[in-house]
Amino acid sequence: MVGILQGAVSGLIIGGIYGAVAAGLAIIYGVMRIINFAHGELVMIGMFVTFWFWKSFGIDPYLAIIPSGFTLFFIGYIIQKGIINFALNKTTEREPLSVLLITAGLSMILINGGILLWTDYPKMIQTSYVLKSVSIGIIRIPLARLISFCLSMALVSALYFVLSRTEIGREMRATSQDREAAKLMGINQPRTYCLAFGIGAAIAGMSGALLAPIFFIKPSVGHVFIMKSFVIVVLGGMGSVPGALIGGLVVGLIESLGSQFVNPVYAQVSVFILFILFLLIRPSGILGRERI
Amino acid sequence: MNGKNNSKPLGPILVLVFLCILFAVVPLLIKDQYILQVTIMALLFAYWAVSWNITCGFAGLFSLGHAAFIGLGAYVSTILFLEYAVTPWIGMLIGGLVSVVAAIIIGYPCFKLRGVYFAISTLAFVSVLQMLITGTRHLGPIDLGAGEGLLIPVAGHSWAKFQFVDKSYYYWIILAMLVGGTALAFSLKMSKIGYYLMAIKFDQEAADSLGVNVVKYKLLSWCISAFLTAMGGSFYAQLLLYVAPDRLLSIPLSIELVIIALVGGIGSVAGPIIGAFLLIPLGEILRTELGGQFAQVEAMIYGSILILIILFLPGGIKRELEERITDTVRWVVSAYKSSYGREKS
Amino acid sequence: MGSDGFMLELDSLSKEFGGLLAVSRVRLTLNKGEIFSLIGPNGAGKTTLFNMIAGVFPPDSGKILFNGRRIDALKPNQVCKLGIARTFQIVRPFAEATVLENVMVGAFLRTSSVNEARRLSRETIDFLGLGSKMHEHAHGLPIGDRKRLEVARGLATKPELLLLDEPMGGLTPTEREELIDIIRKINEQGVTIFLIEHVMEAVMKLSKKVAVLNYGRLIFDGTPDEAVKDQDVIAAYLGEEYSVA
Repeated sequence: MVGILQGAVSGLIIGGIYGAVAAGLAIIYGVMRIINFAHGELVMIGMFVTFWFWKSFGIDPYLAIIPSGFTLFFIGYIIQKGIINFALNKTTEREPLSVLLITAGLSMILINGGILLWTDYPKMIQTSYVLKSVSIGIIRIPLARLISFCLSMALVSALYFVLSRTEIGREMRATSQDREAAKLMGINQPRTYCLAFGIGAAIAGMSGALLAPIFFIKPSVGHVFIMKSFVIVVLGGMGSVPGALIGGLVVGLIESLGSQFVNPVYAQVSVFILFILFLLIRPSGILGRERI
Repeated sequence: MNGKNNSKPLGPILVLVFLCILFAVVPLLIKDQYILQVTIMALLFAYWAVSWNITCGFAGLFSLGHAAFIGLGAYVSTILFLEYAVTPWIGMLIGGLVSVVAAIIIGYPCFKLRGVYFAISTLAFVSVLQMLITGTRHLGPIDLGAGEGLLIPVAGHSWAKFQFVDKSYYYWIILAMLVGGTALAFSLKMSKIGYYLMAIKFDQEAADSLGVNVVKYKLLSWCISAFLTAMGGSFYAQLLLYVAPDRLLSIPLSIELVIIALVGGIGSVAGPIIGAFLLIPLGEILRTELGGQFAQVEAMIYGSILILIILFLPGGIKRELEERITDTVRWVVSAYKSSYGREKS
Repeated sequence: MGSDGFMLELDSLSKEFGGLLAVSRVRLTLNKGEIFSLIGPNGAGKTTLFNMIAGVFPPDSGKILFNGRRIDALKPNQVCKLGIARTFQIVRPFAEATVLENVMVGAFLRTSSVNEARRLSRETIDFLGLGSKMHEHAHGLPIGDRKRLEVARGLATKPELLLLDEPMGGLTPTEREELIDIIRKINEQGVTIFLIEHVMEAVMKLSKKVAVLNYGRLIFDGTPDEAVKDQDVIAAYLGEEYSVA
C-alpha cells in the first residue's frame, strides 16, 4: 500500500515536470499547428545553459531559469523568423508536414552539434540539496524533485496567465482559433508566430533548468522528452496548456505506478498505446477541447 | 510531388543507364572491398528508399517509422535462423510476412489520420518496438538479445546460410533486389493501382467519388512497402551478422531513408536511387576524412540537407534535373528552329 | 428493377447538422433518361442532398433508392460503382496530373487495362472538347476547362446517373452555352442527369423537371414553366438578386 502511494506521488511529481515541458510544445502547436520535433533539444539546450552557469559561476540551477528562458526565447524566435515562417508561406496544409520535417532536421543538427561540442558523456549537477529528501507523512520525496515540481506548476500557471490575461496571449489565442479572422482583425501573424515559438522554446528552456538538478545532462537526452511530450500533448488535448499539465500528470502516474506491477518497459509501451488510441478516438484529449 | 509523367519517361531511362554502369563496373569493384562495401550500402538504402516511396511517394502515406519493418525483417530472419536453423532465404520471406501483419495492425487503423498525425503514429510504432526489444530478454524460450542484440555466428562462405566472405556476392544480391524492387515500383506506377494511388495522394475524397476504394489501395501500397522493406532488413542482418535495436529500430534510421528519398525526389521511381547514390558515398567520404567524429558531422549534414530540400527543392533533385533538362532541350530545339527558319527565308 | 420504374427515389430524407435541419423530409423521384434540376437559394440544402445520394454521409432518416435498391448506407466508391457519378461545386482535379491522367482514374472503374482506360479516356476527353489539352497539367487549366475535366472524369466511370453540382458557376456566357450543349449530348447518350444550378438559363433550357428546395424543404416539384409561375417559388426568391443570364 505504501509502495503504491509512494509510486503515485513520485509519478505525479515527475509527471508535473514533464507537463511543463509539454506545455511549451502545446503552445507552439496550439497557435501555429506546428509539431516541433526539436522540442526535446530545446530542453537540452536549457539544461546545458544551466549546467554552464553552474559550472562557470557556481550559480544555483534554479536561478538559471531566467537566463535559460531568455536564451531559448531568442533561439526560438530566430528559428521561427528565419526558417519556419518561410516554410509556412509555401504550404497550404493546416498542419504542415514540411515543418515537422524541418524541425526533425533541426533536431539532428542540435543533437549532433551538441555531441561534437560536449561529447555524449552524461554530466550531473551536484548541489547541496540533490541528496536531501523531504518526508510528507509516510512518503519520501527527493527535495530537488519537489522544488522542480513546484516551480513547474508555477511556470505552467504563469504561461496560462500570459495566455488568458495579456494582449499577446489574446493575440495568440485568436490566431489559434481562426488564423484568417485573426489576420483580418489586424493581428500581425508572423510576429505572433515568432512570439509563440519563442515562448514555447522559452518554456522548454526553463523546464530544462528545472530538470538539470535531477536528470543526467547530455546532448542526446532530448529524445526522451520529445516522445513523452508528444504523448502528453495528445492525451491532454492537442494545443491545450492546462491539458499538457493534466497529460503530464497522467503519464507520470501510469509510468510510475505501472513500473510497480510490471516491467517498466511495458508501462512505457502502454503509454504509447494510449497515445495511439487517443489519436484515433479522442484527439481532443482528456479535457476534450482543442484550445489553448 | 509529381504527377505521373507518362509522356516523358526520363526516370526509367536514367535508372536503366545507371544500372548498366553498375554492372559494367563490377569487375573493378571486386578488387576493392571497401568501395564494394560502400556501393552495397548505397544499393541497400536505394532499395529501402524505393520501397518507402511506394507508400509515401505514390499514395501519400508519409511514414517516419519504416525502420520498424527493417527491424522486424532483420529480427525475424535472425531468430528463425538462430533458434530453428531456418535458412535466412526463407526467413526473409517470413520476415516480410510478419511485417505485413504488423503493417496491417498498426497502419490500418491509422489511415484515417491526416498527414502529420499519421507520421507521428508511425513514430510511436517504431519507438514501441524499440522499447519492447530493448527491454525484453526472452520471449518464452527465445532469446531476443535485448539491448545488446544478437550475433549471427560466422560461417564463412555458405549460400544456405546466406553468408559470404567475398562481398561481391552481397553486391549481386542487393543489386538484384534493387532491380526487382524498382521494376515492381515502376510497373505499379504505370498500372491501375498506380493511378489510383496517385488519386488518393492528391485528393482522397475525389478519388472516393470516382469509385476508388481508398482503404483497400492504401493498405495495398502500405503492405507491399512493408514487405519489401523487411526483406532489406533481413539482408542487412546477413551483411552485418548482427542485429540490435538501437540502430535497426531507430527513428534516425527511418529519417535517414526518408531524407534519401526526399533528396532524390518523392513520387518518382528513380528519385530515391539518385538520392542514395548522392548521400551514401558522401557519408563515406566524410568517414575517411574525419575519422572518429564523422557520425555526428554526417548527421548534421543530413539534417541541414533535409531542411534545405524542404525549403528550396521539395520535389527533389530528380524533378529539378528533369525540368532543367527539358528546359534545355526546349531551348535548343527552339533555337535550332529559329535559325533554320531564318535560313529558309 | 425499379420500384414503379423510377431510377432515383428519395423518400423522406432528412439531415441535421448541430441542431440545424439542413434537409427536411424531402421526397423526389427521377425517371431514367431525364434531366432533372434542383434549384433553391443558397444554403437551401442542395449540396447536402447530393452528398447523401453520393454516400458522403448517410441521412438521419429516410431512404434513397437507386433502380429500386437502397443505397443510403453505401460509401461513395460503392455508390459510384453502382452507376452514380458526381461532380463537386468547387472543382477538385488531381492538380499535378495531366488531363488524361485525371480522366483515366475515372475510366479505371470499368476496366483494369491501362490501354483500355486510356482509350476510353481519350474518347471522353474529345467528347468534352478538351482534346487539345490532353497532356496539360490540371492546375494550369482555366476554370472553364477544369469544369469540363470534372465532368469528363465522372463520365469516364460510365454512370447511369450523373450528379452535377453547379457546373455553370464561374463560366462566361459562351462557356455556359457550350456546357449546356455538352450536358444535352451526354443526356442523349443515355445518361440521366441530376443538376443543381443557380443559372436559370441552363435550368430552363435543359430540364424536363425542376424541384425547388428552400431551408431544406421541398417547396415545388414540376416543370420549369410551372416553377417560374409558382407563388411559393417566387416568394422564396423575392428580393434575391437572381441570375437569369
